[in-house]
Amino acid sequence: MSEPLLQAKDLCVHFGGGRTMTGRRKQPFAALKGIDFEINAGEAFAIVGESGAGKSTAARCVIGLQRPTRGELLFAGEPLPFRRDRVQRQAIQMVFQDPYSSLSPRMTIGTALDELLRVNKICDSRAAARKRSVELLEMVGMPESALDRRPRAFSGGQRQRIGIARALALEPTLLVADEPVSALDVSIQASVLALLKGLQRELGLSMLFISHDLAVVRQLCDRVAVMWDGEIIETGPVEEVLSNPRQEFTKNLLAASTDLPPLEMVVDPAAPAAPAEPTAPAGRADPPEPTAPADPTAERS
Amino acid sequence: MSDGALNPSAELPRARRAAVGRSLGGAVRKRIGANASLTLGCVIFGTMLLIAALASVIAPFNPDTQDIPHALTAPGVEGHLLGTDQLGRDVLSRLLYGARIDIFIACGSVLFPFAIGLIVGMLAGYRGGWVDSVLVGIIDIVFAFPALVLLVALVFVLGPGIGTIVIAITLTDWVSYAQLSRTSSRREGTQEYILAARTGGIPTRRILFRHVLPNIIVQPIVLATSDALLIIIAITTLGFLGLGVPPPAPDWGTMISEAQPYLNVQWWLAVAPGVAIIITGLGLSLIGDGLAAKLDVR
Ligand SMILES: Nc1ncnc2c1ncn2[C@@H]1O[C@H](COP(=O)(O)OP(=O)(O)O)[C@@H](O)[C@H]1O
Ligand SMILES: [Mg+2]
Repeated sequence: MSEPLLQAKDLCVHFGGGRTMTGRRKQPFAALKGIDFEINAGEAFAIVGESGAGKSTAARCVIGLQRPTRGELLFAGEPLPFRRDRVQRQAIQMVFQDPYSSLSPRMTIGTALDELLRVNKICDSRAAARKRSVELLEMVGMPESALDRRPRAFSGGQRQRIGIARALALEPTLLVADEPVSALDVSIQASVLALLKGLQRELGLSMLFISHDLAVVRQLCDRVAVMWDGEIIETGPVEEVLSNPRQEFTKNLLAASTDLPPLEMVVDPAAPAAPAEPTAPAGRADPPEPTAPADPTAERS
Repeated sequence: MSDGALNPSAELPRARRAAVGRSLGGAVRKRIGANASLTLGCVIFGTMLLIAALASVIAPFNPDTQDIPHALTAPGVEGHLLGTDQLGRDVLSRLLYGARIDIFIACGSVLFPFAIGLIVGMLAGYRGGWVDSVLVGIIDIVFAFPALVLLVALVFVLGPGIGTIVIAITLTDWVSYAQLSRTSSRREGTQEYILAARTGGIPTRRILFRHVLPNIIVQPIVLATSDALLIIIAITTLGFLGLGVPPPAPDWGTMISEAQPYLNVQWWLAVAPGVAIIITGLGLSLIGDGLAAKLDVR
């Protein structure tokens, strides 16, 4: 393995700097305090941490929605600026966290995919775009008839499948998935995760997978970075970190994580996954113990 | 008489939307449902538009021809179905032509502020930063500025007339729409579907008009339907100040104010245009309310 696909060097993000009305400097809030990580080609890399740790901020930097205050990103060895050209933008695509707000509410799925494919010159005619859209939907286990419907017509799980299809439309090399199932019903989380994993293997994608749940990460990812309060406190191969956590925080996170059935049990991604066993409350993992200091700004996640 | 349309306060969009909710249209809609209310409103307002368009065909008399010997005749006498006014002009004809002028002014005075406010507010709300700060500053200034003062100044410069009214209302009223669309496009701009469009490389102009606009346009439309009525009423106020539609052109507000001295005997002079205003208002209110309920705002 030569060069990593994506490298983050000393990535910092501060919010709310600037000056007050009276000209005094406001104390900026550091959401990312200089993190470094690498994602190798074909690898699924996870960032875990509790809510407010800065995971989404890191993801937004990678996808180009957040300008880092300091530090840099390298993609295949080349600097990856905040303002990106078409090739750089297409190479990194994202599956969003909330399928209920991540699809344009008044557009049919077909119109949205058509726009995406043609604006990016992947297809040059309406017919070609439709054909490609059908293929994309097929990849995520959705029927062609979905094209003529609006997001409202679909369940959360179906919407997230559409969200995955949209992310794949631009044929990215790196897929960023920010807590892609945390807004979904526990009973369908596994099938969406299985789909994501299957597509990643099949298409040879690299993946930046963000989660607050170590059990999910164990099944999906090769390497993991544990974040706490804007910093990466532990990183390494998933098995190593999980079986032998060096940080107290990681142990707590591990204790709070859920027991998902192994993904291999969920054979057909399109089938509604049978909740194999009544699992622990999976939606939200609140690490016990005094982990993070109470943060008044922590509601945003 | 209120000059609400000309004297908005910072609270106005919210206050107005609340007003629509409590309106006659709202009460009717509760009984007949959104679809029926929308249909009825369109029928009423459509009829008004038709009357306005065909005024010259259906009016029995010239609305401006004076006939002093036959002033203030009772309804039905000598072919004057609604009687004549203090100058002997046929009230029905003036009413029909009045529809043309009032609806024209109302549409003009709603359309321009609507379009300008919607687009400016959307751009500023979406883009944020200094552009947004500048817009908020301008909105506050215009809200604080007494609209009537502006109007009087404009009348001196441009002379009284329909154009002056439309320009003055546009200058002050666009901020209501701007504020409304700024707030909602700011909110939409942080939604994940907009972020997805951005990471998908959709050009900003396309994001604004194809993704943001359809999701923020309903509230301004509802505001516009209630605004149109307020503007018709405001023209009446202007008539009192001699700043309205210049005579002899007929308009409902002026008709009402001219009828004042005769109110205890020739009451129909005021009631006829009053009823016309109420019916138009009901139509607009039904449309606004039906739309809001159907498209699920509020
Ligand atoms: N746009 C923003 N402005 C100010 N603070 C923010 C913004 N976005 C995130 N934050 C803050 O940064 C911290 C990290 O947020 P985030 O990256 O969303 O955490 P996570 O995804 O790990 O839950 C939180 O404390 C949050 O309040
Ligand atoms: Mg988050």
